Amino acid sequence: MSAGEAEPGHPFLEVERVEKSFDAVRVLQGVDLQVERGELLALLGPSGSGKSTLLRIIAGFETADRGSLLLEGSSFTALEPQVRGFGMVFQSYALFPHLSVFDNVAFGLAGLALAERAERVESMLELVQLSGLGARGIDQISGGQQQRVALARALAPRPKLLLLDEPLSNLDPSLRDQTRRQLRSILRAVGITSILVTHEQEEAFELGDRVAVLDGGRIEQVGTPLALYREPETAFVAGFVGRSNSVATDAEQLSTKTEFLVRPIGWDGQLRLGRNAVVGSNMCGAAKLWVRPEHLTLTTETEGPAGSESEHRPPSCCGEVVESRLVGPYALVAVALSSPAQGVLEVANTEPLPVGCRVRVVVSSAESVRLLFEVP
Amino acid sequence: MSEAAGTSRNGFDPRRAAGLALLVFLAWLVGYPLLITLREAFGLEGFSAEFFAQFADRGDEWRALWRTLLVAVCSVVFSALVGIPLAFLFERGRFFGREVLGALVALPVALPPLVGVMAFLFLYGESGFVLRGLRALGLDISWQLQGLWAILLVHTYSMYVYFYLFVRSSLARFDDSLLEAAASMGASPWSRFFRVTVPLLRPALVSASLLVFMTALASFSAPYIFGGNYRVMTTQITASKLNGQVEMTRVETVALMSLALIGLLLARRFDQRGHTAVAQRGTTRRREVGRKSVLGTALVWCLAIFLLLPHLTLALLSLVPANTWTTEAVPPVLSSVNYLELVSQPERLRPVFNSVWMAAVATALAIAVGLFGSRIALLIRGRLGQAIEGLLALPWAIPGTVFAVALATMMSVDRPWAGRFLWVGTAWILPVAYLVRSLPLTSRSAMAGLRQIDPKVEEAAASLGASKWRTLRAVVLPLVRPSLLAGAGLAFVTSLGDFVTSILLYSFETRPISVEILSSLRLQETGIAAAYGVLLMVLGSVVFLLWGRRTAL
Repeated sequence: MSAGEAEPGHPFLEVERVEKSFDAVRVLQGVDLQVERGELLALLGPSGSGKSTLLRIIAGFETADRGSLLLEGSSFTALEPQVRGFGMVFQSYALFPHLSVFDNVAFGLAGLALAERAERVESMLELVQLSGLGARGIDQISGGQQQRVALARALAPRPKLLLLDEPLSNLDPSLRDQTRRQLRSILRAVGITSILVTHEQEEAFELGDRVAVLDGGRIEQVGTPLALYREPETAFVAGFVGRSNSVATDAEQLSTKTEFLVRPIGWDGQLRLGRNAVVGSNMCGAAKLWVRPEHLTLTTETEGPAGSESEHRPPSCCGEVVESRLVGPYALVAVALSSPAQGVLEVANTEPLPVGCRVRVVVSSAESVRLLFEVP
Repeated sequence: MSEAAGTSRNGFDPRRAAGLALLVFLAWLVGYPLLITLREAFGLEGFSAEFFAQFADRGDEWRALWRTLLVAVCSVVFSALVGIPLAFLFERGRFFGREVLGALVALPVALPPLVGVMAFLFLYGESGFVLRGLRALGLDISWQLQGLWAILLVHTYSMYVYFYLFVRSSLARFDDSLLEAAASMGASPWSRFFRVTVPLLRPALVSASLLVFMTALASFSAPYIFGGNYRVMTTQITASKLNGQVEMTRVETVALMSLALIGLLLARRFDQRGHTAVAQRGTTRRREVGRKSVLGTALVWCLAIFLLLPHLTLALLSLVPANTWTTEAVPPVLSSVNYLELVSQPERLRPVFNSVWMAAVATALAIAVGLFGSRIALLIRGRLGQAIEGLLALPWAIPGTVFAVALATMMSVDRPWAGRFLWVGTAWILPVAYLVRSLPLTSRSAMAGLRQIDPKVEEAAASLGASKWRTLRAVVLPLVRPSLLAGAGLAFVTSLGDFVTSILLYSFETRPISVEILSSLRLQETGIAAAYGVLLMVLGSVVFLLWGRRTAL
């Protein structure tokens, strides 16, 4: 049970059964989401998954067809964006081109006295490490600096909630890493509740306390980065978050009811999986075994283990290396499995192997595989 | 769309309501006068084609129609022949002073039509500088600046600029690597020109042709001053109107309006098939032909002086006191007496005052309506948005003479319940006419400015707590301002120098500068007329050089 339910109050932000269609296209199909006070939730999904639309509905730039939005228990579904009191950082930054850096940051501080306003702007510029650039025009600063002005501008009025729409996607890859770390430390320092939309898993994992994965207008799974990586609950999450291989599998529930016996189709050997590694509503029928590249090992012994002992060996299958590339600390080796097994697997190996090399792929550990029964 | 939050949830959309109200207003202001004129061309009561039959029976009407078409087509051809080579010369040629001359060459378009015509009269007319000079050299020749060729001379002089500006801007964006690609595939220079350059310039050529055709169709000043017996539709209509042939005026107006609309529709059809291939990435390398030669430079400067001669003529004549110049080749006395008279005599100053206030009111209203209309049209889109956009742009296609007659027809009776008021002869009528003629200019520039604003910028303002009003005032308006000012400047200058609608709608108290120029010319007060002309010319040039080229391109 989550901590929010244990407390008497409501979660900080609640999105309830939000639906949205553009013309005939259903962009959001009943989205439920809760954000706790002070946390940073990342909305991760491919383009067209509806994540930006969801953010724009929370900001008030789009109206949901159905569903409601609550902040600390009270609905703000019908409020105009300008009275919601949320800050927003746009993908294109959307800085006011006719105003200086200072005036951009001061735009949301119309209610403050002049002296207080100047003080707040200075402290914001300091926060984003742009002190002394207040008098510059927007076209006189770099893209990275513009990004930080956009952040300072959104934070200046001390919003209740900060919304970030792909804030780093307009930056050069070389600048992105550095800016991401900077963004994380600023957001931690301010301690503001934030929602970040991104299509990059790395960004979501580094910045998000929790990550909500969206696909086709539905939330697939919400959880900490570690939980999403280790315990994906749907095939989409398993495939979208990090690299993963799927292997068609026969599976049967043992009489103990707590364990499953798993035999990848066309492979040698089998695997016992605990109940907690298995996901599916009906627990029978077609299933897929999801294994990450680092949980497979390669051996050059192409002969299968002999006879009756195979029952007790981990699943393995022969194949041929079709591609091999070094990706930093290890090499990714693509192995085309020999018949009767099918498909190409990606395996993490300490070094690249020559193409054409015969190898045997072994599921090295039962700890970190997932068995997903397909929805019929 | 950045919409949604503004739409209220019970079905009533304030934007649509505002759009509908604006549509009704524009329909009344722009469309209604034309419809009333069309209706009354069939008789005030009942429905009779009697006057159309009369029109069809008269040879001079058919002649005027034919001549109007001829003038328009020839103006397109001649303007293209002058403007296109100039565009290539200035974009690709090399000579000294290209920057300065490039701007000067576009100046004729900033000359109000009547002022340009007057300058030509003083320069090439039967007692103009050129003939006087030739006579002083001992040649005994004379000519009259009249008829088709005189009209075409003036038209070419002021309208080649459209070809020059459009083709030049198209060439500036032209990706020369296309020509290199063609050359690498073995295309000869001729085939490269006709198979690559010409097709890519097509949109510019079509736009310029359309603009010249419509301008020439509506041209009034040149045929009025130089036409003599060579009547085109605009002068035919004005003559009928001034002779009090009310019914015939309406039929003729309908005929010219139909001609303009047919021209517009045909051109639109033509216009749709066109595409520009401009440099996608990297810089466009300018291909320059030849070296900077003294001879070429001299030629281009001679050309520039030729183009500036009318301006110089006006400036010189405005310094000639009345009755001091008779037979000499060059005026013997020069003084600022004309300008002093203009400033010191209330009756001389009055037309200036009239023109300034009427143009200012019209421009201010045109800015308001153009900006509001464009904003609404962009926000609601759909059919309503298109209808508003269309009505804002329509006056561009309607010749000034046609609209003036239409407005006079509509505003000559007092029937408030039918949306008609007795405004003819009042100070209202000219600002209203100027307003309608300015709408396409202000709304086009407002539209261009609004389209450039990233909708996210407005959302950013809202997310920072700015009300809709503050977003409009502190974000949208400052961002549209440069573009809008350009359109407003052109609208003001056009209204200030307007002749074609003024001559049909003015009353003695509200006479504008152009009408005063005409009466000064009739009274042989050439110095005064030239001084008024210089005033308009300077204002027009300043506005054009500051802002005009940005919208023209």
